[in-house]
Amino acid sequence: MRNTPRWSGTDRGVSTTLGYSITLAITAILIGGLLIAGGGLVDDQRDRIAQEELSVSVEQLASGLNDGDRLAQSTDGGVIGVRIWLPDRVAGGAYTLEVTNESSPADQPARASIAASAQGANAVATVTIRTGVPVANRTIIGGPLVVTYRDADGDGQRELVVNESRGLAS
Amino acid sequence: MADVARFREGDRAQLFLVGALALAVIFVVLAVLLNTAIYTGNIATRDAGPGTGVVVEYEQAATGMADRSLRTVNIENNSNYTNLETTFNDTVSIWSDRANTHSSAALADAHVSVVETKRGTKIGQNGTRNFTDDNNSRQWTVANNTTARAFQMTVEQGSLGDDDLFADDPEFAVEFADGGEELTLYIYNSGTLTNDVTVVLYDDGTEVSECSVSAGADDRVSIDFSAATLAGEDCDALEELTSRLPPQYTVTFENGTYAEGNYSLIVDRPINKLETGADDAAGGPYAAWALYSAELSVTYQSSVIYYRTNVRLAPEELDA
Repeated sequence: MRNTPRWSGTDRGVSTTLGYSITLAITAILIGGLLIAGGGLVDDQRDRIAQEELSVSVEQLASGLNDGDRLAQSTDGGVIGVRIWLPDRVAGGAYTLEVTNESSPADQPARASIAASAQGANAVATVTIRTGVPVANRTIIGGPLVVTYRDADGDGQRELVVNESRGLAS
Repeated sequence: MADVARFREGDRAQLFLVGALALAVIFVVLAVLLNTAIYTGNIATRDAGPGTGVVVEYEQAATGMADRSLRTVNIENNSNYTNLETTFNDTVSIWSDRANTHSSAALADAHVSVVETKRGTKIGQNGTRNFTDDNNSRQWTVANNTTARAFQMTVEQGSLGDDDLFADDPEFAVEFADGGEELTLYIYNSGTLTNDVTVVLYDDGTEVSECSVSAGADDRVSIDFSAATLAGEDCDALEELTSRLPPQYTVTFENGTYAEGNYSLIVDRPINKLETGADDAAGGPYAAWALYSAELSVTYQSSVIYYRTNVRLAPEELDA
């Protein structure tokens, strides 16, 4: 009977506090683990989706360049404008497109590579296309684009030039 | 006691609450990303690019129409240049308006118009006759300093000079000369042994190539200078001729008495500035008003494509 008042009194809080602390720690570890795992999952998904979106974007730009190329080959001195609707952002971030004219043997069609990289995500996509007319070197921010056919580098030969969207006939 | 009692009253789940909220945010972000992925997949399966096929089709249809018009416009109403130009311009303009109605359905604006036409002369001989000029001269200038298109000729084998170049019979020849270079195409009957009609090309007196064909049942052979065919078959000599032609040349018939048949060609020199032995009034070969070539402006505009080009048309041009 002497002990009974002690357990039902203030002394019992010791084990309760201990139990609470342990519960708190375990819960924190569990939730922390979930958050870290969830965050990692989101990061992975973000990179993967950025990768997919970049692939689609470069393919669409390649397709637009091929369309422009087809028109450029059917005209001597004509004006060409082909608009390509690319997304402004991939996986929530801006991205950069780099069009590079690759050297090719004299009797072969021209070659160009398109590389896209997302800002804030670990993703890069590239594609190489063959065109009948050369493509001008260009680095542009992703978004709606226009392909024109003009002499961009002043060498007297016209190239397919990719620009941020403006008037089609410019 | 007070603290313990407070936790027991349901306030102990702050950590769960914060954790659950954070996880909820993660799930929402994940859902948004997956949505983006689905949207990307959607875009990837759409038509690639704006599709320029329709533009190329329009341009080809327009130039095809103008090409046919330019071939046929010289047949009727060819009594002066104004009539020809009006007919041709009207044809192109009406076609452009009609076709634009169809392209409007695709939310596009398509036009074709005539930028300029080049006046020329059609020279020919319709009835079967020897290839002399109106004064029966056997050597005469068909057209001076010009380019030619739609040059066709039908000759009767029996009328041609016999045997080869070294035989006694002179051979009928068509000469293309620009003052310096001289391309001569001899057309003759290769003799009783093979009985072929032979065409030989000489470049400044040096033989380049030849080809021959036997005449059909009607004893006639057609020579198409534009398509480089002899009786419908490919002919090296004619191909060499078209590839060696200078930008401008004078067409001369030689030994016109050693060929009979008909011919026609269109040259790029207006009839009043042309030196030719063909004169309609005297019978035999004639010279008539004709359009030689045309330049068209083709425009196609939609929300995603702008295309404008000039197309030059000179159907069946010799050095094309």
